Amino acid sequence: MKNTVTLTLTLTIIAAISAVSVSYVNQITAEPIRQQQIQREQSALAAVLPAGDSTYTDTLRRPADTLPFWVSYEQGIIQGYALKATTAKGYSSTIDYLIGLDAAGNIHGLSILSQGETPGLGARITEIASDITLWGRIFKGHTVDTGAEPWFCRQFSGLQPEQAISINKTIGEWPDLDSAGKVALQRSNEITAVSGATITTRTVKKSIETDIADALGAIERKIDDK
Amino acid sequence: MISNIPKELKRGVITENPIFVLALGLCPALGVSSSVVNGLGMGLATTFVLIASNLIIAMIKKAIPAQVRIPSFIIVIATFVTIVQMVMKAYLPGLNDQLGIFIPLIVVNCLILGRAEAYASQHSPINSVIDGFAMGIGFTAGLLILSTIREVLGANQFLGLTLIPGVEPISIFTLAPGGFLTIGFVIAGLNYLKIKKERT
Repeated sequence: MKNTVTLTLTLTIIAAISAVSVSYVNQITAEPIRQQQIQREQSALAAVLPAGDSTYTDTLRRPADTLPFWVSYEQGIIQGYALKATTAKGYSSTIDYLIGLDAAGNIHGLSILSQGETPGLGARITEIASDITLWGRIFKGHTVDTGAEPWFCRQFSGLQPEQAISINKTIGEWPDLDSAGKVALQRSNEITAVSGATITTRTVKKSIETDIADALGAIERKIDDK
Repeated sequence: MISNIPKELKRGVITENPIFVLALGLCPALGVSSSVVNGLGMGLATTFVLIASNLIIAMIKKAIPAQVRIPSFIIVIATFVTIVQMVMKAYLPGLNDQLGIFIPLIVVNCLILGRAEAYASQHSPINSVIDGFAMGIGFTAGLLILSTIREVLGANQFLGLTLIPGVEPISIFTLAPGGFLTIGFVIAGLNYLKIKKERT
């Protein structure tokens, strides 16, 4: 009996000390973590939302999902929109993204917020194209551009989500095209896929085509009402 | 013991390497070793937790009855990992983005519980710290070997920079099967060297 009491007491004391220290550290770090989260959202937003002097934010409630959105104004005139949406299941995960549209409804920017696709294949939608080699870095002093945007997201700029976006599989990946090729793709509302990751590419494209067009109309009605 | 640090390091890195000899902590080792940066980060985080948990457990070992030692060790380890995770999220966001999902895995890394049970619960705090350090460095070294092989072969990169432009890498090495293949071949190679050395 005494043995049981000793065992229980020891374990309880250890657990209590653990709980106190964890909650203390939690209290100290809660604010910096919140700041990180806000900063991350702000920088993602700044990358996709057209610039303006004021931003209005709200959420769009639809039967299937809830979409946070932002509207950017310059002197009271709408400059553009941004929406946070989630795709249907891709190859192995749903993909959260932030998409920015200009006042005409064309895509201004795309930012993948989270995804769990296959590394080396679908996960390359967040890959930053770089032809800096190890030797170039060591011997020639080439530096990596750490602020660059993933090429998969960049190629969506200027496309119209309200029309069908098609995937061009014959000309290779976007970073390997010359500027004439990129302009041609944009004019025909096309994107290139990540090679070997058709499902992931298609999932993102489909979500933008179906969700965004509807959402934009609903957002415009919502802000007209207010 | 303190003067024997080089000997302890040799034990931790070579003769009793956690990954290749003791075969502890293989799950996080395989998961994280797809790139050198990840491997290095995970190795250092594990080393820190290992040293801290060995120290605490060596200090309180007399107060813990033998029958509840495993749950007690686990509570201590989990507490430290939780603290490391919160501190990383708050003050090292870049590292957190790379390693965030792996840090909770340190709790179930058999290496930490293994050293607590096999060493820290029976030796002095100073010796336990040195053991934790040696084992942690050995774990990190093992991770570096694995992740170098896997990143070079599987992604044609080292530290995120391309090696030979235009060459298509053998992607399977960055995925799970490649991880198993790599670790199998490295263990086989090390065993071969060990047997050859024993024969001479």
